[in-house]
Amino acid sequence: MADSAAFEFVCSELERLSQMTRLEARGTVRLALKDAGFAVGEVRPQEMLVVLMKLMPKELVSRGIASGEEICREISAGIVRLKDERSTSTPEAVFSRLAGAR
Amino acid sequence: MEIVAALAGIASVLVCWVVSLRLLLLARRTGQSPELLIGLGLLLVGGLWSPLMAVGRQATGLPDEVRAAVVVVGALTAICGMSCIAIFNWRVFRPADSWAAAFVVVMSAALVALALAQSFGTGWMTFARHEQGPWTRVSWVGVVIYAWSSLEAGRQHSMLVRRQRLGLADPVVTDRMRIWTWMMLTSVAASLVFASCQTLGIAVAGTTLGLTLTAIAAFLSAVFLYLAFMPPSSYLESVRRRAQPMEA
Repeated sequence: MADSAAFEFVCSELERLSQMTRLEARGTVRLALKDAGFAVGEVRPQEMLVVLMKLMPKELVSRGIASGEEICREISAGIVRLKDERSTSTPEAVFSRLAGAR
Repeated sequence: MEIVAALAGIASVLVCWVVSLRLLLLARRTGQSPELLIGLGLLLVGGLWSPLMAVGRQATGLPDEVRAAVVVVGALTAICGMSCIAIFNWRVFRPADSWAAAFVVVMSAALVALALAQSFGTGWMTFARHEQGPWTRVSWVGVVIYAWSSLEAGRQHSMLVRRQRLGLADPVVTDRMRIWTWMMLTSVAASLVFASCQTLGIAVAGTTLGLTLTAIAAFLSAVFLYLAFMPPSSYLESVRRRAQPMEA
């Protein structure tokens, strides 16, 4: 599965704003997403936004980046411009529909 | 025990019919394949295979030809139903993985091969009378497919629990995934015991052991199906009440 646009956007912005290498930035975002219960290929911008606000600052601080919250705020401002499309084929969407049977 | 097993079995088959028909109607409305696959899978495996095999094996008052025909139809429903469940696993949990598609083909081919081996080997009359022949190994294929289902659903449930802490998952959907995992685990356990007994030559059909296992598995399946796909509003309210998103 290809990485989602939200994941790619956050990784490249984190790399640009934090002086992390590409590998470090992607690894950090991957860990935060795993902690949040998302796969990198399916996370949507609105979900990524919550991860940026609630989990990423701590991840960045633990990696010695003091301005973690500021960086996350800046990335959040950009991510809301990404198109947010809800897929109908994720396991969550499928199991959500299954109770709609009448 | 016979009456308890029969009542549990009837309840399970009835719930299976109702749930699967609702899912098939949903599939007609949405045009989506997952609800069609799971609806067909439940109808064929839980709603038809089990009762057909029970009639074919245990209705000794019927002519042998009729019993053989009933178990053949039962085998066909098992092949189609278990294949539907395997395809559901692939399309819903692993749509991008080619190994999952290959695994579905292998499982379906194994089911067809067992049926062909029974047809051209000892025959279905022997299966109906004595539960003997290659088709007895079908429970092992069931063990593998249900184990795969429960692993995928369990993994997805653990992801949904983490999302729910952030307020990013509906607690009702998380709960449904948990119940589906339990239902598949029940199927793994039941199939594993049946498969082991058949492999070891321990008779299960019509025995106290078989009846007890059938009663437990059927009762649990009926409860899980009901809670997952036709949950009463009081149950849904309690699920939502228990859900507590993480503080920001």
